[in-house]
Amino acid sequence: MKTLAAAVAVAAVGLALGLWTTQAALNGRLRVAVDRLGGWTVEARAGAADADPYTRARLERDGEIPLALGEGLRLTTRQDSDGRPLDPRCVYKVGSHAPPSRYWTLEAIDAAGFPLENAAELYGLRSNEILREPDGAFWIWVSASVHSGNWLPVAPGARFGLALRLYDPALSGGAVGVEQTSAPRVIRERCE
Amino acid sequence: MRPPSLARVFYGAALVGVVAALTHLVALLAIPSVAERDAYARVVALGPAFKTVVLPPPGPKSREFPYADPAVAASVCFYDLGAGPVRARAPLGRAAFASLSFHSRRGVAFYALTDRAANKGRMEALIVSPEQLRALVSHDDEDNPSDDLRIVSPTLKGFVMARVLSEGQDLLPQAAEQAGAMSCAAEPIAEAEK
Repeated sequence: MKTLAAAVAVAAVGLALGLWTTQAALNGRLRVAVDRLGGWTVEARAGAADADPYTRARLERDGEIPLALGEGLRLTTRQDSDGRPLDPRCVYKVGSHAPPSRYWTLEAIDAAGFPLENAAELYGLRSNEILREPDGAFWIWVSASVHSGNWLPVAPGARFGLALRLYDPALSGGAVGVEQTSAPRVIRERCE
Repeated sequence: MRPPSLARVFYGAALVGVVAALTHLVALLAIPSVAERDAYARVVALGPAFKTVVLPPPGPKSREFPYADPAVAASVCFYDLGAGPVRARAPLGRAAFASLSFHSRRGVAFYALTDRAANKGRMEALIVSPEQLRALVSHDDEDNPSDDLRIVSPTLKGFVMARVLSEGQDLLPQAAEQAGAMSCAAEPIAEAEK
């Protein structure tokens, strides 16, 4: 009787732990099968036929159509460069350089990866649209209230993330480890 | 009641670990086969095979494909190699960046072309199954080789996606028009040989 109770307990705890780790690996709480580029995560193999089982499972579950290898790369972060979660009550500046690519776009996303509701109906900025300093450096201001310069609005009240998409990037999936310094930093300027 | 011995506790913990690892693996590998709303299913729901559908621009209210870029116009066309190889073709417009990506039944991209690889003002490829590739190769004329780019699809069904980057919000309609000009059509082998 005691052995049976122990067996049931072992099975229940094991099942729960197994399901929790699967869930955590897929929603990003456990970092499995993702590369880091600066403070950003990249699923470099998401757009390749030999994607790993974690990446495949996440894509199938979310219904995302990933950028293919050779087409582009998506870098995502839900934290600032000091590792704190992005908070809509704060003002962030993102810059000053992006990894080399033909074009890039920066978008603010919600928890599920969709654009954020905002009064300006501005969902993203393109690399060809932004104001730059003479040497090509740029700063993008991410905040819920209007900001001068390059402004990327976020929705008040909800946690958000940033998605940086590189089209025709000069870095391939394999070179992700090499270019750590080229990813833009996300600097928290001030909070209300 | 005697407290359980240390050996028993370790034994129990090891068993929990084994059960957890097995559950983790089974759940992970089962997700692709039980996911009903994967990208392929969402694409198939948009229209019949071989028809190009321009996707609505992503927005807070337009929540069909997550992690899609609102600066990019996209269209999809799903194919079935059952009736022969499928030719995908997309004209180049004025857009700054355009690409085609090829996705299997499982959603992963197995090939992509950018406008850099365009020829005669368009991106073009012939999607084939491994058997169809063998049939085509055996009929190839050595003196007059086919200039088709042949891409082997790992599954008989799949879809092609065209992405066109707009250089400004006001240019998104033009980008959508260019994305919508993609075509994918079955091309029985006899015809493909020519």
